Amino acid sequence: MSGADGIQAGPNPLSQGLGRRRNPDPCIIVLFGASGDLTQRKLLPALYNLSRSGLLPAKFAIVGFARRPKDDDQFRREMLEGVRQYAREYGEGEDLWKDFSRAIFYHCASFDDPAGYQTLARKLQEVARELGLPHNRLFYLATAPGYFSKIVHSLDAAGLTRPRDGCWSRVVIEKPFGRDLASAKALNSDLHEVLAEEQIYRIDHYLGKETVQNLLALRFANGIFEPLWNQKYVDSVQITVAESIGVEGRGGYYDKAGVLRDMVQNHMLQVLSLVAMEPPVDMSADAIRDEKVKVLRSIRRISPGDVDRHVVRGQYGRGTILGRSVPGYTDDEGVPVDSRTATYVALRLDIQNWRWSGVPFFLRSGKRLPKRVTEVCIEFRKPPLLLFDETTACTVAPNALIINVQPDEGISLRFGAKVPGPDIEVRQVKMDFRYGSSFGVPSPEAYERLLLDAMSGDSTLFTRRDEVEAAWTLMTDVLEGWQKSEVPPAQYAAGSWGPVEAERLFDGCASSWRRL
Amino acid sequence: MTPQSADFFAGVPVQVDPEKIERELTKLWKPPEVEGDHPSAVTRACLSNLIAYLPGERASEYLRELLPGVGRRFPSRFLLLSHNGARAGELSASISAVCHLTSPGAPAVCCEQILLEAHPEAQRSSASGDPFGVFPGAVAPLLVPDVPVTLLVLSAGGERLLELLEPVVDRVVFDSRELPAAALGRPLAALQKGRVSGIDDLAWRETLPWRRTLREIFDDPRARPLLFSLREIQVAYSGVPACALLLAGWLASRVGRPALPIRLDPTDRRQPAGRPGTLGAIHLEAGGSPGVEHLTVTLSDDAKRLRVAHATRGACVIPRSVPFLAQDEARLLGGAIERTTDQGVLRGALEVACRTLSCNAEKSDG
Repeated sequence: MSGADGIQAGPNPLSQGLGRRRNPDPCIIVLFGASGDLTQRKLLPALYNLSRSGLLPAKFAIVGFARRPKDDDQFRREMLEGVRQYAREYGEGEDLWKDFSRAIFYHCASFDDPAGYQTLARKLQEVARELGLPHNRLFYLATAPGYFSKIVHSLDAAGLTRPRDGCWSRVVIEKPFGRDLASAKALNSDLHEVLAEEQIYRIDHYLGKETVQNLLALRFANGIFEPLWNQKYVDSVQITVAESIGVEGRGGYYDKAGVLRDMVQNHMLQVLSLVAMEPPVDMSADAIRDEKVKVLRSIRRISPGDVDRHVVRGQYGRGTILGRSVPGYTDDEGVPVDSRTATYVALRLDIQNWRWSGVPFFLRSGKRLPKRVTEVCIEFRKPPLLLFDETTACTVAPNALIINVQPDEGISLRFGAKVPGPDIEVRQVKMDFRYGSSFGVPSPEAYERLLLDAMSGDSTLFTRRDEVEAAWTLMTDVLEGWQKSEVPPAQYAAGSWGPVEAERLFDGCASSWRRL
Repeated sequence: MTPQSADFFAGVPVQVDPEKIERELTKLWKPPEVEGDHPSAVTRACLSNLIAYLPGERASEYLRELLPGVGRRFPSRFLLLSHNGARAGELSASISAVCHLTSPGAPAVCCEQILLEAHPEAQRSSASGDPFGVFPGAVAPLLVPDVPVTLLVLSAGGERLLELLEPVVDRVVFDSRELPAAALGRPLAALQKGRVSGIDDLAWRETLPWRRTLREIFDDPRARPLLFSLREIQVAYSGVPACALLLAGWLASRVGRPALPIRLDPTDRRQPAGRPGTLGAIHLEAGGSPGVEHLTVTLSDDAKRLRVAHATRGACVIPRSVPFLAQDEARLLGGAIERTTDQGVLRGALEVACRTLSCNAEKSDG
């Protein structure tokens, strides 16, 4: 079908059989905070790998925006260093870098200076003219959160946020998105003054991980799990995000955030909502996010007075990890000696809906735990009647489905099997699926997937306004409770699995924290 | 670890009794804690069965080099069949592991290769029955259940095996790249018979980066007027024309113009090392109301980029240069095992390709 302008509407007849994903439209990506760590370690290497895989648009440009004076060539050299060190795949002397780097530019300006955005607008026009690019723009805000609102309003004032000539303009916002409900709401309102919701991409890099996305495939592409995925068969759910590193000199920043803001409000609640959501009506971004937000709204709020009963916070002291002595949290230079910031948190959450009523969700996250591991464990109910020798049967843990998000991505099923021999002795065994063994292709980095989706206009793996605010509603209750509480964070030794007080969250349950 | 299992895991073929293959494999895979002296753990993986007939030393050499790469991408049980056996009237068998490391310090991931060899006499003596008749009964019990079975057809022997193994085969991958173009009739015939659900051809896989680039150009609705007013497709290639025919056939069939004139130009000089031939360029000529328009996608001299150039008035095509991600042989075959190609799209391309061939043959006869 041809329109008056000669444009052929309808699907591209060449698309059939070549997969659903289409390459994104030609565009310019503007990186705010171009001198920062995130740009060098994650964003540029991710864009380079996308280019290497032929997934970037046929024509694109990258413009770094930061305060430090430098020219295009110096910026390119710095970015090459980042690609060399951090790109998933890079071959020294690759011709690809030469081509790729020709599309990298630098714009020196202060985030606070309105004139810098006017000159940016002119620079983008020049780059677009030089490279034959349309007016599609992706602005990536890899800056301190205090600049988010200012940058977006300045972009608007320079006429850069309004879509023109059928082209798009999108803004990616890095975490943290607010530090409590009030600030998140204020930021959302600020952004919405100049941007429509579909222009805003709030990033949570956990959602870019293959194993997190596989939660949807596991649940909704298989017939065997979903019938068991409810309060009738599930006893409890545990989600663990453990880090072995400490604050590593970033104590000044971390002390203002703490583990609840750093991990739980965003990553862990996102994972929880994927585990607990109802099947979406289709796989569109809004259908999935509608179901996720329903989960968050179904979680019983913890009143500030109840926080010490449902939440345990901890702070690591000195200890040893793999034989190495490590300092305690308050030994870090930027951390006040009397800091009450939590580096560990364990929570018991209840989802009050038909599917999950009565099934506790245990979440824990901490720094300086024995190892880096992220997993979701669905623990099933025990059989209604124990037919085997009681002493033997009691040693068998209930069935569990364990989803390893990192570092050894995969899924394990734990069940009981008879030990060979004349006696009926049941022992726990595991069936394992490992991404590394089953798929010979390496998983892309989370940022590769998310950048590609933002360029393609797919917001499925980005958090929507209502999701962010629902998550903050829950966590702000906890933060306020902690502020009022006289109970200080429990101390735990670095290298341990956290304070023993966390066990009391299991009072009345048969299970306890998993030893990972 | 016994010397036998050391050989096995090192990829050295271990001779076994064909009737005891599974038993021997179980023995060799025995977990380290049972055997006690296994130096390092390995993970046994199997996501598919791949059967291939080796008509001669060249095919054996090709697969010997190829299978570790395929196993890395898609760990499979490889069942290789040949007529090189030493003992008349009997099958001989050997087994070996195909291993790779996923990351330093991690256990190696291994799959297994089983070679079944019939005596050459069986092939020559047609009086004694079907020379391939010995294989189906040997292969069937060795197939790993619940994972797909792919047959790789490199030669005429493979076609005979397809007839015999049809009931157990899920996918068939032909390789028409080095054969006369008429060999494209084989996958088309298999598709028309419709007995196997997944047909593929490595020549078709080889055209993938070209098809993706063309798709991407016409993702832009402003470029589509050119697509719908095509007058001729011209493809430059070197070596064998199978890929060129498939690429042109695909384009013509996708726009619903199977009779579109197709010109093949065998004069392209690029020949990347180790490849049987290559596509050099595709040139589209279109005749819209504003006049004749042209679009050309050309492989750069270093075979690393595809460059898009155009001379258009009615359609809007952005000139571009995109990385050309040539797929190595293991990726091509691994991809064919891993994903079933769209059968309708492939059939459309093959029909146009075969029609073009017969038209060209008629012209040269005439």
